[in-house]
Amino acid sequence: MDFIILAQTFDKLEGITSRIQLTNVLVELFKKTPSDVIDKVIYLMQGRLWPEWSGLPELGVGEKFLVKAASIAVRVSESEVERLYKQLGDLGKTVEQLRQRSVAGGLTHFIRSTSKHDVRLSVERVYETLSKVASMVGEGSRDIKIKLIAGLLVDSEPIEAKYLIRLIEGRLRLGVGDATILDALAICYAGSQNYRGFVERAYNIRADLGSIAKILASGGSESLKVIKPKVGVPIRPMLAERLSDPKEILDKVGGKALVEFKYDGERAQIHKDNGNVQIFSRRLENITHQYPDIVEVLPSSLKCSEAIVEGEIVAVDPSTNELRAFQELMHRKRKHDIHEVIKEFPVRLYLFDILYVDGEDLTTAPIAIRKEYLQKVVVQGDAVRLADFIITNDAGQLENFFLKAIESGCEGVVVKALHDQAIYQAGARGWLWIKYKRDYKSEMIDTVDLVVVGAFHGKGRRGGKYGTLLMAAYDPDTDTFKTVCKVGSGFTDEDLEGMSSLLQPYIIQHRHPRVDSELEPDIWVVPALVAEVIGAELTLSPLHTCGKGKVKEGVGISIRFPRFLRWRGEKRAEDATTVDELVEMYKGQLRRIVETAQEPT
Amino acid sequence: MSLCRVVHPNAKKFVAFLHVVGNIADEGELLIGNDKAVIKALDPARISLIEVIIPSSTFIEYEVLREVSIGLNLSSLVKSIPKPKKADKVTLTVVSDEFYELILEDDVKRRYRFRSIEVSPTEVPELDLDFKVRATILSSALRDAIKDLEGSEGIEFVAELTEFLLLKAPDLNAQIKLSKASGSLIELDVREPSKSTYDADYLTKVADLLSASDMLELSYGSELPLSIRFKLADDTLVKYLLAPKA
Repeated sequence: MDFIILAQTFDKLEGITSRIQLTNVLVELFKKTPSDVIDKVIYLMQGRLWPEWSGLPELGVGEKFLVKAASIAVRVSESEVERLYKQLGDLGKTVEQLRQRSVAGGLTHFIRSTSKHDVRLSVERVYETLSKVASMVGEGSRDIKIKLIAGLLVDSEPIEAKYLIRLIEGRLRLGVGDATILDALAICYAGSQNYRGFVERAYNIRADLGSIAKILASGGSESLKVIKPKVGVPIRPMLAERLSDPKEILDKVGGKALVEFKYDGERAQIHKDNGNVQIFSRRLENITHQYPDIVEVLPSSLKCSEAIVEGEIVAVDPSTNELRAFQELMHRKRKHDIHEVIKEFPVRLYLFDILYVDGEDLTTAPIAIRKEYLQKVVVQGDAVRLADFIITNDAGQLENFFLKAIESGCEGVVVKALHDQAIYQAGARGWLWIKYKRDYKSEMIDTVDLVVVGAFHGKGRRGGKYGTLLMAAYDPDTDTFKTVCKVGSGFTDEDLEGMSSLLQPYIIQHRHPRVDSELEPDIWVVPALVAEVIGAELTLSPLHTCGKGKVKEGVGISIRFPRFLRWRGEKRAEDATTVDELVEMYKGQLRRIVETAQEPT
Repeated sequence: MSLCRVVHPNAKKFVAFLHVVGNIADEGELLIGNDKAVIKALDPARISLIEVIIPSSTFIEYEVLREVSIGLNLSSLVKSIPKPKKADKVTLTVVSDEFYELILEDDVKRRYRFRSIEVSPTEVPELDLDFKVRATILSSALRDAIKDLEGSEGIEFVAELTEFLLLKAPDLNAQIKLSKASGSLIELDVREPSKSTYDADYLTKVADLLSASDMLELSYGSELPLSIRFKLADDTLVKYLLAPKA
């Protein structure tokens, strides 16, 4: 297929603002496109060479390279190209004008005039050459890349040169979205826009427009109706609506629901093909390289040959095994030396859905069935676990589970409809899933002084020591100590070493009569030691007794992500922060949560 | 049974051809016919075309079942093969249409197997050009002139009279005269006074190969490509074509 057809179409598309017209132009283009190049035409139209999630390299050709390539191709100096570029402000137009002024550079002009060969740019050659440019690395590759691009420009007509430059620069900007391409594909290959639903479902199941177009162009609409997920090609994720009233949420999903922790991590779609694992983000970026630890354990954590599962990757504290905030995952974004940060910032994968297993498409199965499959397939370990969930039709139970989730470091919960129609709606945001997150949060600005009332044995590196302390605030009205949080972070190795001897004099066999706790630590201690503690925020908790019922019926106040700062040896237990002070802090700092970032689910 | 098996007595020279061609293009074609082997490559920017024609008599063994064409991935080939010692011989065996092998032999035997890549015929076209200037020059003289003007963006070739050929590098403010009087120019036929500029980088890339020959034929014209042809001692013919700069 001649590239000029594509370039002329790009030119038409650029001047159109109506979506219907855009669709019509695309239909015309697809009619002229042989089925074996339709995928390439679609990728090029989207300004890329392959789907973004493929993990294959991007073109990565800078402006200076393009100026050099253009200079070779149009036989003018680089400074002349730059001068005109400054004047026009558009490198594509610059090269187009230069090509209009001069005959083609290189030997092409002489090949055209003296040989029988027809030197015309084809879509295939453009695609293959640009793929080569993208893939080339190592010594001398820079020069060859410039020459390969120059070679394309040499053989191009002015209009082709303009769009080649824009394509390579990543500035095609045709205004053609995925939705318009789907419309055009339905009209062109299935005969009518009525088939749009089938085409869209296929795209949601296999997020690769090029490949969907190729299947449609070569096999017709029937071939799309039977399309299944394919390991290695991401499925567009199902998204949740949002509500903030537990009763309304349960009504909306039909009464009984599956309520799941909404972990504060990175949503991940994981594809397993025997020993090969690929991880895709919510935006379908290939993030496999960020989680080599998950890649290593996953093959043995899923008892099947092929699977597509979904979960949340969460940062965990290597000392306490507790969940860390989402921001900690940022350390995994680096491209190099990822192995260096694995130990310092370990992660855990909480799986919550399964969409495909050993040839079976589960996207059309209700969630109850999918959960059964997931439980059968997953072998839980330290790095891979099933997401915590309950099944309930009670708003109070939902609320308690929500508060537990918040206190555990989660964002909230996702409530999922349990009825037979509750299939996996790939690529859609609907009422089958509803997220319940906090509308308000109370940021912790000041530190508090809390009293140690119990301790828990450490695990892993902290084996044989006390790794976490149960902390309480003082309630002068009742002269008791009411629990606020468990603190495991912030201790130095020295603090941990000395913990046993520090606590020893205070250890008792039972809960101290002045301690009010619903949690049962491994050891109880007499309230005497005071520590300064800071946290990310104050939060409501069904587990702790501090201020219970003072802000909300049946729940107390806790600290999210608490961290030990120092011992306050000069303070008596009764000098610790009081329950009322904590309640005031909670109320005083309560702010509505304004979401600025893209919703993760 | 292989499609062909040829043994070149001078691995150093054979690999040098590949290196020179590999400097010019990332891909090329090797055609092995009944009477000659031809390495041909068009550089990716379509600026230059090189052809190395090695007659079958140059090889110490030459068994060709049928004419074969191999697509050479020159960039990886050049990186993989070390520059051999002079004493080495090289055996090229085309195992199938998909694979070929190079065996370098001296004290040790090194075998390299490569996949043949697809190179379409339009990548290495034939050209028939009407040159206005034809010259026979001492190869060493042209090589030295090119080397002396290295660093310039372009080298302008000027021929107005039949007595000398000027090579100018305006940005270096330098020029070199190849004249019959100095002995560097052997023959010059000027059908039409001609001036044309060629990329100095491209010329430098073939300059090294010139030292293996005594004389060369140079042809060009205003706004026409530059053609350089020379024969090596073993009758290997090198043809190089370079497009003009602005």
